[in-house]
Amino acid sequence: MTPKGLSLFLSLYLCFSFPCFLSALSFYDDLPPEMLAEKIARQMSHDELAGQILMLGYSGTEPSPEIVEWVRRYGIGGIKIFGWNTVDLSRMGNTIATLQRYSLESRFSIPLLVATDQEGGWVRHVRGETSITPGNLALGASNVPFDAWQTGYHIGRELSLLGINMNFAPTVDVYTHPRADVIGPRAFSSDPVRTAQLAVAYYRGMQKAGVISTAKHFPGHGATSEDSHGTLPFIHADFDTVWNRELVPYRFLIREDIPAIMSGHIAYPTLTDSDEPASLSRTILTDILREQLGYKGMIITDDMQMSGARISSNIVASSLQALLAGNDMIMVSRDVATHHRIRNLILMTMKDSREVEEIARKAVERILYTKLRYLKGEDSVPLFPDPEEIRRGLPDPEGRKFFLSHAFRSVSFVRNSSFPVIPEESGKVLLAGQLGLFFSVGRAYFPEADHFSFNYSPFSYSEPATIRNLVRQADRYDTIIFCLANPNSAEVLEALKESEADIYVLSVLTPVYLLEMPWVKNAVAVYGTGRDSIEAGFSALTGAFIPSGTVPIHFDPP
Amino acid sequence: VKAAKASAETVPSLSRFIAPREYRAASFSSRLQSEGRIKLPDRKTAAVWIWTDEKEQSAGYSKLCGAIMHTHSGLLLPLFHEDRFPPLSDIRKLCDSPGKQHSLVYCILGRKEEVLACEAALQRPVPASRSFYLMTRECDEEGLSPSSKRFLIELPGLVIRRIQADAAELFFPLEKAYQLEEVLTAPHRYNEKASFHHFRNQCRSQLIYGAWINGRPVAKAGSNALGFQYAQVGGVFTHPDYRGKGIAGMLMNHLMKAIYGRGMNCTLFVRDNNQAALALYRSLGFRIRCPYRIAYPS
Repeated sequence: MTPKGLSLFLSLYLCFSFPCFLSALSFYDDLPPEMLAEKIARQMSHDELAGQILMLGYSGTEPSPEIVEWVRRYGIGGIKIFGWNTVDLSRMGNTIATLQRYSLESRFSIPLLVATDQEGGWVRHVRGETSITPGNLALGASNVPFDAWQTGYHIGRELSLLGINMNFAPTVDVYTHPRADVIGPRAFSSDPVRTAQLAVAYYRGMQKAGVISTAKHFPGHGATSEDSHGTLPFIHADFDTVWNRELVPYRFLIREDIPAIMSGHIAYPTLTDSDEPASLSRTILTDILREQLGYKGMIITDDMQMSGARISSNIVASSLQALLAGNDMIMVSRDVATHHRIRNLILMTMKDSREVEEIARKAVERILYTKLRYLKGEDSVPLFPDPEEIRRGLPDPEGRKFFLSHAFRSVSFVRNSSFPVIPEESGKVLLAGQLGLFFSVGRAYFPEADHFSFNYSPFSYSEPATIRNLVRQADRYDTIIFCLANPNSAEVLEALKESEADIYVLSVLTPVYLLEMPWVKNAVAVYGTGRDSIEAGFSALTGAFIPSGTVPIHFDPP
Repeated sequence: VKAAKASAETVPSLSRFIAPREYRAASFSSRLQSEGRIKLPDRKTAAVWIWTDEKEQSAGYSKLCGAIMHTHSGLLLPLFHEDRFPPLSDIRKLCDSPGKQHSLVYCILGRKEEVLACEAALQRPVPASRSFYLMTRECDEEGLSPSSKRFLIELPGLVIRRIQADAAELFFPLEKAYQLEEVLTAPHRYNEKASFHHFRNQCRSQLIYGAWINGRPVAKAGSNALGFQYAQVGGVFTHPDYRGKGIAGMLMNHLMKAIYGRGMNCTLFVRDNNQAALALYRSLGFRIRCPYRIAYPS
């Protein structure tokens, strides 16, 4: 061997044998995911375990010193992107890249989960140039699984461009309570099986784009009129009901290997024999989800800041309880002081108890396994998003085309006695509603129409002055086209019951309020509030095409 | 480096300055919170001044070299950078000039060096002062687990429970004895009614534990400030007839469990000549962090 050859041999030998000898384990080692996840979790210190199970929010568009410290010093497992982080998408991309770089400097080079709520339709946390989509209820209305696949795929593609590798979607809550207002258009349907089929397609589409899907809110948020953001909703249903209703989508998704499930802050007292939320319940998460449903993927909590999670105790104690109940990852939005306290308590309890340490180690193993499956490999979401590509690629032109066509496919007649409204023959027309787009799009169809605009909020009730003003004006018109968007506008619409004018309703978001208004003879439903949906609605109203969607919600008579 | 009044925009810089020093600033940080959020105290209850170091900037965030809180009742809480004290010439102007909406400074509380610097800057005689050690025990330290059995003692008839507002009256005599023995410099000016009112409020908002023997209150221990990550322990007092039986250790064990259960660390200051108390806290895992001082300018 020549000296040159020898030194080459030596350097190769040193390169390849020493790391193994020192067993410097890395996320990027070439081992099967199960084995590598287990190996890394086994080597982790208490500090590293306590970090990896946290997913935290941060404030601002730049990486704040706090979140940098959380990534570098405490090695958190993920970050959550909220609307307030997305003012400028290129800068958000830079922030994600910076934090990923810090995260890769950790002992095992573990990248971060970067998660958001981009459900499509009503809930769209990443704003800016991302697509505004018709939403899940529109998927229920067109009822074509391939539409759901493409929706998941195109949303996933946009997130991938931004470096967001996990989406808290699809929402698979079965819409069985007519006043489940916080779910509403976020649900696919009131039918469990249709929900399940569309959810599977949605998840497969998002998986194709490399993004981790998270089905939520386990076991279900669709059978209550309460909102877990402000209170703890109770659902008094027995096991058989829940098994054949709420759990149907999960039964499908788990068979299809869904990577993540989010636990909801909703109490099922009949199942748990207690008033604790599902997110903190061992019965729900361990006995039902893990054992009865056989779920092996990761479980993440809904935001622990929400009132539903801390109705009976403080957020710190609740977070520990969440881990012990079976969650693998604890998500907390924006509150620096409690973040530390949560970590303190988990760390201390882990040091105190071998059993808790084992629970944490298992949780981290599942998180790492999910990361290894999704964040490694050529087709995965980039860790360092390219600002130039973000500027060029958003909104995705292919996605734009698809979402527009889907908006048209999902339009549904709710009632039809004298459609269409022909602008030239409908006399004096008034457009009444709460959304700016309703008027700006409507102007193109009814240039002569007058406008009556009122506020979207308050959400759940109307202002008496609005009703007085509208009723006073109503009789001056031959035709009123009313945009129904929430309980507020439902009350306003109800006040037009005795009006002489012909009333046509364009329902956006959920059309559920129309069920209580059988006197409305003409109504068409779209399910989003974007331009595509409103455009599709007006086209249907004026007879440009015959709507082919069907309203995907039916409630049993009480 | 100039003093400026803290505002909503400087709160992030301020909390960043406090975080690594919070072990000695729980009285300060506890006043910077409302409903779980970090917020400046109401203008009427306290003013916060900060000294910003223009040269020291990181990622667009300014760095402070000092902060001071001046409450409406005249309590001054200094918190300074360890190596760079801010210029204190403006303290007199800020806190001690007549006509301000806050009372003149009657009490300064903090690390010894900080308090001495403030005393010098105020240029008033200090007829009374007390020396303490500041001790802390972090919740992630190993060695003594709050669930350990070490401080669990068996005494017939002993009950330990959190004191709620309805038990405030029962325990007030102990609180009063504690105030007179440990805290006050001018016992003749003790206002019993105000003190009781304060104690009852503390029972509501703080974690205060009491020990009963056969229904009789014999000892108490509690928190008196809940900061971001540090809870300040105080008012640890045992009736003289019941000392030396391990009751305080057991009470502390309950209290620390409650504090750690909130994910918080413990901090306290103890008179530097109180050997019994120093020994107790040491055995509970506390360690001395720095000399601490309370001064009462004339």
